[in-house]
Formats: sequence, structure tokens, C-alpha cells
Amino acid sequence: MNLNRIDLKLGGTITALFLALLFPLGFVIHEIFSGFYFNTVEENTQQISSQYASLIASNHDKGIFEVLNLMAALSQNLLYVVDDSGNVVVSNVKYTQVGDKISTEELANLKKGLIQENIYDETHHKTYYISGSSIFLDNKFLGAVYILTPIEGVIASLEKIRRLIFFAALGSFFLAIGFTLILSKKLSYPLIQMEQVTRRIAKGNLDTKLQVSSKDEIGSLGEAINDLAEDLRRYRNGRNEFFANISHELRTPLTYIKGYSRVLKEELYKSNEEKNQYLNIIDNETTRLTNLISDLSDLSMIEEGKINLNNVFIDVSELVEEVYLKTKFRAQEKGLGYTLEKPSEPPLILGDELRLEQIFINLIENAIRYTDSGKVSIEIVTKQKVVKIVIMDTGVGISAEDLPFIFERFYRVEKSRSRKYGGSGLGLSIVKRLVELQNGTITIKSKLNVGTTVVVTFPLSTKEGERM
Amino acid sequence: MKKAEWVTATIFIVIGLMCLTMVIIISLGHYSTFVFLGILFQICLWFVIPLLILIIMYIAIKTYSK
Repeated sequence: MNLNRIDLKLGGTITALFLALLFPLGFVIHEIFSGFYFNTVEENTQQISSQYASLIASNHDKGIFEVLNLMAALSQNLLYVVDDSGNVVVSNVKYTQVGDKISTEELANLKKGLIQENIYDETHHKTYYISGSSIFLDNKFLGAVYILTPIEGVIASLEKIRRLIFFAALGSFFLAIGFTLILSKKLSYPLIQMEQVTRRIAKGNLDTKLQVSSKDEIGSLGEAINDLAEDLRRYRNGRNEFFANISHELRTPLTYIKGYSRVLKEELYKSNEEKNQYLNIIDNETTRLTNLISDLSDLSMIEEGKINLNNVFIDVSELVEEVYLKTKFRAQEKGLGYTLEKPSEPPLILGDELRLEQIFINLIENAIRYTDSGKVSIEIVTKQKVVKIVIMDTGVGISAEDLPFIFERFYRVEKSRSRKYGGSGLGLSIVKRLVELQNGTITIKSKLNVGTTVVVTFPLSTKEGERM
Repeated sequence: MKKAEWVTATIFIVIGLMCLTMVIIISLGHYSTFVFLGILFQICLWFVIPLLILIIMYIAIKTYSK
């Protein structure tokens, strides 16, 4: 039997706590009953001894001791009387005879007026409570009266109460065990369920779902486990897809290179023109491969946080203009309208010049690449504390279904587009991460066959190094 | 919870209730089925009262927090 279980620990703790409370409670109840019974006996006995003492004091000259002697012989009450020297003068008690003497210490206390209390246990198991009261007449000590009350009845009652308390405690204990059993099982069930589900998730069964029924911390933990499993599942699928994409992207140019290089090696071409055509294909595919590896390297550096940004104050309009001029010939080649609008005041941002250039080249080249007719326009707008770089095109556009995934690695709207327009499928993914690394945001709005608008926003900075 | 666990828990609860009822019966000094059932009912009632108070407090707190 496995003792290292949460339900056992929980149940054991509750039971131990219950016992820890039950024992002192039992003791307190017992003491309350004992106190109550003994106090009643003590009060009664002391009252009788005081009454006798007062009676003797008021009738001292009238031969009270003789009367008391007679009374003691006839009375049910057990008593004995001592004189001012401590000698017993009247007694109907077996163990104290007339002529016996009480201790000096007791006599001294009686002379001070202190009530004497004793418990006397006779050999026949008869136990008495004894109370002695002093007799004073005009402040003169005359002696003392001792009254004895048997307390076997009280002790027997207390014994019975003790037994009843024990059985009541036993009953409560069984009751507590029964409820603790249910409670510990019910409380530990969600944790046990979580443990089992987490183990299944750890073994790779990421489709496992935990049924969350409560809205407390345990429910929140259950939801967190479900979210974690979902994230892991997405990550695993993403990783598999990523490797599949990489293999595909690397294999395609390599197949071209291998095929055409063999054609060239075995001189299977018919003319020099054909040979040059094959060489061009090899060159293009090599460039494509180099770009892909460079993009992969960039992406892995960004994702691992190993990219170092050399942040300086940059006039973003100047930078975008440089990119505009660099890419102008491509737009002109395709016969597209190509415009740039910039503000009169230079908008300063804090960023890495090379990485910002990479962002804008990527976005502008994308706009030109996917626009066959119409125009590509770039607009730089400063608004409150931000600068917005808006790149609009009248290209092929992206459907609403594809739009949420365009920043994912290797995501392509149509597989055929990569061959027609080129690109590794990593560009936008890299751009998004680079923009975010420089405290910016990027949003894309697009309509299929109408065009796309990309808005990159960066916070404006001042020369003094403060953000506006 | 398994059936065996429910049975065990119920046995413990029943033994506990019997113990408590018998303690009162012994202290009273006389026994009849009617008295036994009456005491058992009262014990159950005393057990339910704190639970009812807690449930009412829970509902009140939940209503107040809404």
C-alpha cells in the first residue's frame, strides 16, 4: 500500500488535528464536572461546620459540649470537636477518638481563623471531605468543629462521566473519520486528476484535456495545465511543420542546382544560349539558398535573444527615403507608380539602422513583388507620440482567412506564389520580431485582388534620449 | 470515490452516531426505541445546524460579493 498519497496525508492531518482538539476538550469537560461536584460538597460541608461553630460559640457556657456529644451519638452527620488546646472533646468518627490531638500546625491555622480542608481515605474505601471551622467568642479561640462528608458518590459519578466522555469522544472520532474519508477524497481528487493528466501530457499525449469544474485556484491550475498542453501541442506542430518546411525549401533549390549542374557537366545543352540559361537558374537558386540560410540564421538569433541591436537616434524619413531610392528601379521595371510622402519635420526614433533598413526593404520589396499593376505608395506620418510608416500597394492582396497567419514562419498564402514571386517565407516573421524588438508594432490590412496596407509604428524620441 | 470507500465512510459515520446516541441513553438511564430515535434525530440536527449556518454564510457572502 502506497502511504505517500495526498488523500492519506490530508486525511491524516485532519484526523490528527481533530484528536489534538478532542483530547484537551475531553480533559476540560472532565475538569468542569469535577469542579462542579466537588464545589457543591465543599460548600455544603463548610456551611455546616460554620453553623456548628457559630452554635457552639453562642452557647458555650451552657454545657454545649455535652449536648454536642449527645447529638453526635444520635446524628447522621460525622463530626468531631476540638478544644483550644487541640484535644478532641466530642467525636462520632471512628478514626478520631475523644482525647486524640490534632497537629500543632493545624491548630495554629485554626487559631488564625483559617478553614481546614482535608480528604480522608479510610481503608474500607470510604473517602470523606473534612472541613474544620474555628470557634471564636469575643475574639477568643475556643476550639474547632470538623464536619466529614462522604464523597464516594461524587467520585463514582465522576467515574461514570469520565466513561461517558470517553465514549462520546470515540463516537465523535468515528464520525470525524467517516467525514474525513469523504472530504480528503473529494479535496484530493482534482489534484490526483491533474497529476494523471500532466503525466499523460509529459508522455506526449498532448490532446489530453482536464475537466475543470471549480472556479477557484484549483480550477485556475487546471485551466493553466490545459493551456500549457495546448501551447505544447501548437509548439510541437509548429516545430514539425518548421522542419518539414526547411527540408522542402532547401531541397527544391538543391534539386535545381544538382539537375542543371549535371546537364552542364554532361554537356546536354544544345546552344550557348541554353547553357547561359541553365547557369542563370543555378545562380538564382544559389542566391535563393543563401537568402534562405541568412533568414534562418536571423530568425534563430532573434528567437534565442542573441541579436544585438545598435540603437541610435535615426531620422526614419531619411532611412525610408534611402530604401525608396534603392528599390525605385524595381518598381519602374514593373511599370508601377511609386511615391513617397514624408513630413517636413524629421521624425526621430531610437533603433538599429541596419535592422530598420532590413525591415523597410523587406516590406517595400514585398509590396513591389506582389503588385503586378497599379502603384506602391509609402507615407510617413507623425501622430502624437508615434511615427507611422504606411506602405500601400494595389497588388494581389491577402484573403481574410490567411491574414492572421502571415507572420508565421514559412506561411504562404498560396504555395505557387513562392515559385512565381520568390521569397523564403520567413521575411514577415523576421520583420515582425525586429519591429517588436525595437518597441514598435506592425499591422496589416488587406483585401484580395484590391491591395495591402502595412502600417509600422514606432515611438518618437528626442535627441536628449527621452521618448516623447 | 469508489463504492468501497463510500461504504467504509458510511460505516464510520453510523458507528459514530450510534456511540453518541448510546452515551446519552446510558446517561439518561432508560431505553426505548422512541427515545433512541429521538436522540439520534437531535444529534443529527445538531450536526446539521453548523452546516446550515456555513451554507447560509457562503450564500450571503457570494450574493454580497456579486
